[in-house]
Amino acid sequence: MNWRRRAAGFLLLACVILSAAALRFEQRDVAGQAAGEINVAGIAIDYGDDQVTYGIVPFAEDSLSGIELLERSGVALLTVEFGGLGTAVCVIEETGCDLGACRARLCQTGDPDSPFWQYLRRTGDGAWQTAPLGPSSSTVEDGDVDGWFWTGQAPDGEAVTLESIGERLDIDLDVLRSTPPQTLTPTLVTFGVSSNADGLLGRSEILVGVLVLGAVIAVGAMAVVRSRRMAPG
Amino acid sequence: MTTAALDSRSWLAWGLAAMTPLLLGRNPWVLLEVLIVVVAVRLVWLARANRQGMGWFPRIATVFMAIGVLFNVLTVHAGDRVFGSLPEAWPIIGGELTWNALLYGVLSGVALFTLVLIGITVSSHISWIELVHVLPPRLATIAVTGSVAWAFLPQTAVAWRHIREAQTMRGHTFRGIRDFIPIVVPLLAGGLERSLAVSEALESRGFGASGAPRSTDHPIRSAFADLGLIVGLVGLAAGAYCVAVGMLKWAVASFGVGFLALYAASRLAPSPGIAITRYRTATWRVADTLVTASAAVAFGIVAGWSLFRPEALAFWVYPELLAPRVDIIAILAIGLLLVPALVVGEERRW
Repeated sequence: MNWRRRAAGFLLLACVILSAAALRFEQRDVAGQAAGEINVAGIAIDYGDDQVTYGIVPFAEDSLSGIELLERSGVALLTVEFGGLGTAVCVIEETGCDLGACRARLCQTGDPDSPFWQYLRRTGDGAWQTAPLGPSSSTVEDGDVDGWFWTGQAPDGEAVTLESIGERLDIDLDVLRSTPPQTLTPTLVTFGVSSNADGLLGRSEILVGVLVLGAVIAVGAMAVVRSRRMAPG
Repeated sequence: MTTAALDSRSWLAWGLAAMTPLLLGRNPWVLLEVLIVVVAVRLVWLARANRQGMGWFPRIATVFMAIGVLFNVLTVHAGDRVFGSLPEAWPIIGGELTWNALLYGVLSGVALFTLVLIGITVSSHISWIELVHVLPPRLATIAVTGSVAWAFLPQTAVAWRHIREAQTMRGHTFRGIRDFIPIVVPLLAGGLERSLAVSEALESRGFGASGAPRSTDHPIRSAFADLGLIVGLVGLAAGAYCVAVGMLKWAVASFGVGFLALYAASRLAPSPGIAITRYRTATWRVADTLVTASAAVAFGIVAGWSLFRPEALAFWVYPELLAPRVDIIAILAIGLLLVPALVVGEERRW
């Protein structure tokens, strides 16, 4: 019995040491990156409802993946891992689909025009081109612009460049590169008003829900009491 | 309009209608309402239910619910409401722990628990003999197989209790997992014995054998019946596939074709010559009509409404936790499922 306890103790100790080492390496890696030069990439997110978010994301590394750029932009995000195939985007802000539908079909239904999050890259002339690799495998470098479009058809987003995004956001890219801030925070601005704005849950809606549930509970309780009275014995 | 017992078909219709909203979404208002309705109906009909071997289902569903919540919290790290974190270096479970994941786990657990509750409520009231009688003779074998399969778990639960009590009387005590061997081995042996007994009983009653040789009088009719059966089964399978991939119009068309073809096949097929003895004729009461009609209306509204307005039953907790919407049409339709609780009472002839 003793050797089993010892073996279990050694295993536990090894796990703790490995975890601590992995954590330490990760912290060193991040610190090393922060000490380098600042690169800047742009991002455009089209929600398919007349709203478009433009962003400038500074980063210390030489390059990022498309999914890392999206994560660092600071938008609310729901993603699903598909192992070696990479990461799929289900929801950006409030646009997208539930986790189950995303895992099953990447938000698409049987309708060929049903929307899903499409990942595009900017070409030399500012137009959009579907990324041949997914967002996990694509490499984003200084000056690149990534686009995310919630649509089921070929995206027809406005052609943009990093400079045009900088102008819209009133950011001088040269200044940003030459005098990087202490913390690399992204800048995002959303243009347009959502045509699908549904509003927040109103008090009247909650009241109606509570009233209906209260009625169901009252009727159910009455039925139970009535059945108890009728029960034999 | 009150009744002391409902027809098995009414219970099946009610069960299908009650399960539908749980399978279509995770809206907390809807889940809560279905749970309240199911608990009320179950309590009202409890005194008239066949509860043998059913008691452990809710308990095991509760355990699975707890495991599901824990699993969701530890493996899903999405969401905007963080209440803790585990080191990122830990595989799978490393990352932020969020209220979003906890809430989604609880909602899924409640849905699972309610589905189990609906299943045991329906199964404790339906009579397989009645169902065998109402099905076309060609589908009798399916009904018999279904009844045997349906009875498997409750019978196993009863056998488990009997063996445990017998072993306890012999002085057996349970201290660890190894002490379950004296229960598990007789349970398996008993299960095999029961299955042999059932198969012999079915064999002795001519189960699976055609009572009459295949009719040569109507070869074209028989061929059409076979074709209808094949088209019907293919239609149902295609419909299920279309539902799974979201092609709802095609799903409705496939199910329609499938059911029509099966109906035609059952009418065209020559009788296999199985003589069904009936000692008591099941009567369809007004209460059965009320329950079945209300279940059909609830099912139609919930399923149809979810096609036109998918967000009616849906609730997203990722990436932001927002208050769930109240869909008045859906929750009013689900309220119709309370009808079985209102028709219970003394038998009255109309």
